[in-house]
Amino acid sequence: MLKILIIDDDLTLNQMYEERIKMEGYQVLTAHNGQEALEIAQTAKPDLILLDIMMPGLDGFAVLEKFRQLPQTRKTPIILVTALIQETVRIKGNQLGATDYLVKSEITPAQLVAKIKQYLVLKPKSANGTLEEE
Amino acid sequence: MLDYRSILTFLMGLLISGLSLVIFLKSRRRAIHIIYGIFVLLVAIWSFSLGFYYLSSDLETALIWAKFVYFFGSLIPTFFLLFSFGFPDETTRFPWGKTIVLLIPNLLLLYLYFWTDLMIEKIQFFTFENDRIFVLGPFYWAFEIQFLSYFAWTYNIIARKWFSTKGRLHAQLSYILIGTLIGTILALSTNVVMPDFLNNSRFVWLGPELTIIWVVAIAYAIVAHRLFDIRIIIRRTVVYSGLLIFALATYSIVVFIFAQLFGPDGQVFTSRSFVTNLIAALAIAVGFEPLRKWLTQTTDKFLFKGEYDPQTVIQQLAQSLSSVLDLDEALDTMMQLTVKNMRLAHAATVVIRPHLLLSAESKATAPEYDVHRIKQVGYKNPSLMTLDGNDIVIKYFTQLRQLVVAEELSQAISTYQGQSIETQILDRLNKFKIAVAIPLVVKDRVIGIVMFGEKLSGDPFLEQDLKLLQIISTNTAGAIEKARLYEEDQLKSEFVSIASHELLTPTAAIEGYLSMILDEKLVKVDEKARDYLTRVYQSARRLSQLVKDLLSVSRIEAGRIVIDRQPTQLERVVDQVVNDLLFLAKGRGVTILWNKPKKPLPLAFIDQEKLIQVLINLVSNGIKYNRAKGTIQITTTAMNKSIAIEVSDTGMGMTKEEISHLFEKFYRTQSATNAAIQGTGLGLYISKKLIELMGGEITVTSVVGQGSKFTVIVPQTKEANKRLITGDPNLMSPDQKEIYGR
Repeated sequence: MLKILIIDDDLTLNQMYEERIKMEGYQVLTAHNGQEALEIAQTAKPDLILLDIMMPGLDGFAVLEKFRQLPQTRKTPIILVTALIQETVRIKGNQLGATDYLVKSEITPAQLVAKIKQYLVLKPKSANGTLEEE
Repeated sequence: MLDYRSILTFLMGLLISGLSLVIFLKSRRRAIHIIYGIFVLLVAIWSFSLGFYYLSSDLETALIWAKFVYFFGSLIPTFFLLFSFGFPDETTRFPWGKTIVLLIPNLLLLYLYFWTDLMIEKIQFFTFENDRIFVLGPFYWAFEIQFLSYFAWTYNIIARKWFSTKGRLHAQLSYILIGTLIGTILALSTNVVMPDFLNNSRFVWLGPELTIIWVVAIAYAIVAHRLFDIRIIIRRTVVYSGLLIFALATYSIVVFIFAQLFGPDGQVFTSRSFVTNLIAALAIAVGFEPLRKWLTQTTDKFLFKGEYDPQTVIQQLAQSLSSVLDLDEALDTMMQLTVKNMRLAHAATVVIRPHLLLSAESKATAPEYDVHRIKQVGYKNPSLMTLDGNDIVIKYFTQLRQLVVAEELSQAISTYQGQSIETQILDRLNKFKIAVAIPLVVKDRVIGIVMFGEKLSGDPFLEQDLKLLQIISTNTAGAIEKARLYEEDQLKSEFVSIASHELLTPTAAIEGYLSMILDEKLVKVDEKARDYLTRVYQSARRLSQLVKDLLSVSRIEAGRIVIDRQPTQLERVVDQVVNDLLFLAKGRGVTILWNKPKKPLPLAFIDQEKLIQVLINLVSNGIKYNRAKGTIQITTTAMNKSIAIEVSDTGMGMTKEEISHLFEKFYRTQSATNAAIQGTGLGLYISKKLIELMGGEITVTSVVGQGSKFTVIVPQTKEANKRLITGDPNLMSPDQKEIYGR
């Protein structure tokens, strides 16, 4: 089963996404801050990461940068999900290596799922040589 | 003979040649400079020729030089005429055609001068003054005609140009016109009019000296970067000449009277004493003003030690306040500056704001103002100063609006047995050790009070001190207001952003969960519940759309939108928009016809996200305001430097009046409101602003009852922007780098 890691400190929408994604048959892991996120990512090795930017302590960008340095998460599709509609955020995310960028208030759960599927399909061959698909 | 005439004319010749060289070197390429250079050179050669004429010892050489003088003299108006044609054009093309044509009369004269005696017959001695005179030949008038007609033509041209121009060019022409008129008229009178018509050649040597005025005026006009106002120069000349004449006249009269009364001979007007008088008068006239200034300054230094210069203080204050937006910093700066320069004991400023009535308070008892800030400089014990909105000082100054000097107040009280309020105010001012208090007024509102302690020297405040303090307080009032507005603006933007985001999160949750409930594949819902929940969902969508629109408008108006333009394939953008809205269209029975072009469109240079937002707005409008079973057509056309996207619908259409208000905030047409279609009235306002920020435009045409057509024009990607695709920072322009944060 494919694993999705959701990193967000705000529970309201976090829980909603978790519900929806589970309905699609994926396994959902959650982290509420950057530290937790890094630990879980290294041990559980998710197939896709949904990362919130506005978090206490280590903010989303710092976490993203770290992810791109770690071997386990260097190539993982990372989608920045945030409440901020600012273009500078999107651009910066691009620079730091985010795969895509979504705005919480604009995306429906259905659209989120569609995006996830899109990036999971594009996932390269896994370590044991088989192409993991849905 | 080597006399003063030959020396002077040679000197003039040298000076003028020097000038010619300077002008020529300044800009060798411009035709007008070359012509001017030649013109000036001719004046110099003419001057030299005149010098040689005076110098020559026999009549034969004198004759030849005389001929040269006339010949070169006749070339001068030719080149000046050429100059007047060309000025002020900056071309490098030399007007050969015109030159040759205009030179024809000169060449004719050349022949007449040197190969015949028709112009100047000979030179002969004029024994009366041991001098020589010209004997002019019968064709002399040819010279006069050429000379004077060329000049007349030139004056005409310059005068016409002067009348029809403004600004800097007009100023330049003023110099040229005045210089020319003075110089040429004077020189013509000594060198042509007097000799020819009055038979007086004695002042011919003055010619070059007088033409210098002419030559220099023009040089200044064409070379000077910033011209002096010619009126100032005229005024100065008049003033100095007047002074000179006055001094001379006074001196002469005094001397004359003295001589008559006391002297035996009355022989006071020898040329030597005249010259010394002249020099003395000149020295006095010129030296008086600077001497006066210097003496004043020096004595001031001794008598008024420790005086400040009001100009400097104001300038420093204005400079420092102009760059400060923070309230505390502004007040601090102002007070430090004033206290230091005027050597005061201390200063304090109170900033007040209108009191906001709380529901628990009654209007009768609540104070009118609140104290927003108190800042103090130089106080040993700052906490002594406590004021609130109810303080009598605040009440007093918000009504009085005038400067108050504590000493004067105390005098007034003792003289007139002042009323209790003045005594109370004085008590307060004395408590805080304030000598002068000035209310700060902006647009008829009192926004604070600035208070100054006494002078360290113990001296009283003089009229000029109070004037300066008044100016300082006016400037401070302005700075405080500026800081306040800036603060408010910052808060507002933050507030709206935060509020909007706080509103958007729960609405996103509501919409999200509802969409999941209403998804039959996921959740089973009872018919009635589904019906109600659908309506809830629609309201939630409406609410979130409104909040998003308000946020967009707030960001647009605060200038917070960042446009990230990239070369974009428009077909894909339209594809996405159509895809997103297919569901909505189907729900209303509207068909979207996307006329995708067969040949790929050139890349547009736009912000994709924003364009999608705009097109979704236009197409969804087209769907919403359409008739049943209506259609929407989307077409794209590539033009020269831009691409047009047309969205036309078969909807209700709009009148010209409605179109004129269409892009205003919250505007909805009557028919739209009547048809009870949901809309915020902000969509088109936002769309227009976003497209304009991308360097494009939106226009609309419509026929009532038939439909509307919205045209969005976006710019194409230019070569320069294509490099953006690589994202290589070395290929980016500075503002592209800014956007990308590199």
